[in-house]
Amino acid sequence: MKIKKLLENEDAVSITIGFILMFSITVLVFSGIILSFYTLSGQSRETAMRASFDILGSGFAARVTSMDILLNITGSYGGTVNELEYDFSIPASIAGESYSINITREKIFMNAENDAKSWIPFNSTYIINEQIYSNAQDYTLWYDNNNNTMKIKQ
Amino acid sequence: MGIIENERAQFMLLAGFIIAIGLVITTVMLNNIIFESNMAGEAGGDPIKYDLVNLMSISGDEMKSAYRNVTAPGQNPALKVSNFTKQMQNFNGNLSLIYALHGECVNLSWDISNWNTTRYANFTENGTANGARNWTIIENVKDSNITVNVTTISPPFNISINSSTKSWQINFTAPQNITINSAQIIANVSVTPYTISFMNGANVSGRFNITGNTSNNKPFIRARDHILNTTILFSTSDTRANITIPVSVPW
Repeated sequence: MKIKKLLENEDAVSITIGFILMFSITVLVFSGIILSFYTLSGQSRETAMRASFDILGSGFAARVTSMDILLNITGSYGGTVNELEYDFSIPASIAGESYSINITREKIFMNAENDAKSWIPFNSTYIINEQIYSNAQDYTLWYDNNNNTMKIKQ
Repeated sequence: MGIIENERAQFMLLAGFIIAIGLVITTVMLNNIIFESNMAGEAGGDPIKYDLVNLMSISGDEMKSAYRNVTAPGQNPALKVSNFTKQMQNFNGNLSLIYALHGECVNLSWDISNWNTTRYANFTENGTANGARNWTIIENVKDSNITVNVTTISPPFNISINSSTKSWQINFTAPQNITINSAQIIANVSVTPYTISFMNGANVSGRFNITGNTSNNKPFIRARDHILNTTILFSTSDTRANITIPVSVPW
């Protein structure tokens, strides 16, 4: 009887304090859930960026290799490449981050502001040494027959 | 008990808000990830190198064919250039049409000044002065007849015929026109099959014609009079190329 009485006793119950307590607990739980989502989002973003860099780099390596093969085949015919140009576009941002692409004869190295990095190995017969940035999206890969090198212009 | 019996539905509203906000966050996050991946994937592109290599190959073949047609026995020599041009123009028209259907613009032009001025090719691999000077014309030959007409020379230049046992060097020191038949070759190299090579071909220009059969009875012709040039103009929405290649005629 005493226990039942205690349970039904509402003498020390405050609706205001109850509301504050419930509200605080709800806010804490919400914050926890959102923060855990952000952590997950951050990890997913880096993974997505690396995957995107791999795709972007492979596509670009294919273009450089394509140009390299064409130049070599033309050379084997004893021919002259007077002009050879490829236009290409890169996304302004990947997962909301801008990035840079550094191209050398041996590799394509991609680096984002949030330190997500990726590199694609390849081998070019012709000298290429260029760095491009995602803020200008449209570029042209071209062959400079005076210097026998591959270059990139906007 | 209080929550279950509460008729004001505060907790139901709260739960509704939680679910709605959660859904919005999840949707936006997933959408961003998928969208960015697609953007990057789009940037790849399809290389057109095979189209260009194919163009170089078929343009060269057509030029050789046109030259052989107009210089074949029985053809009127006075019409050779006009007939050659006619065949090439016809080829160029068809080529442009076929490639246009693929969204590619192609135009061929040709330079036959070496032919018009009777300037013969060098005896290098690709016929130009800076081509490979020592090169093998054909291997595994069973029988052959060689005709060489040297018009300008800066010695040394020689034709090297090598079998598994012997080597025969035919040296040239002055412009001359020689024909070597199969019997002469066998007498000098003893056995078949043999290999025919040009040595120091950059020092000399002229014409050659080698016909015969390989050791597996396959007939062959290796011949060159001139080096003509063809220029290929190629463009698509994202690619532009202007390539000039030398073409050895008639083969």
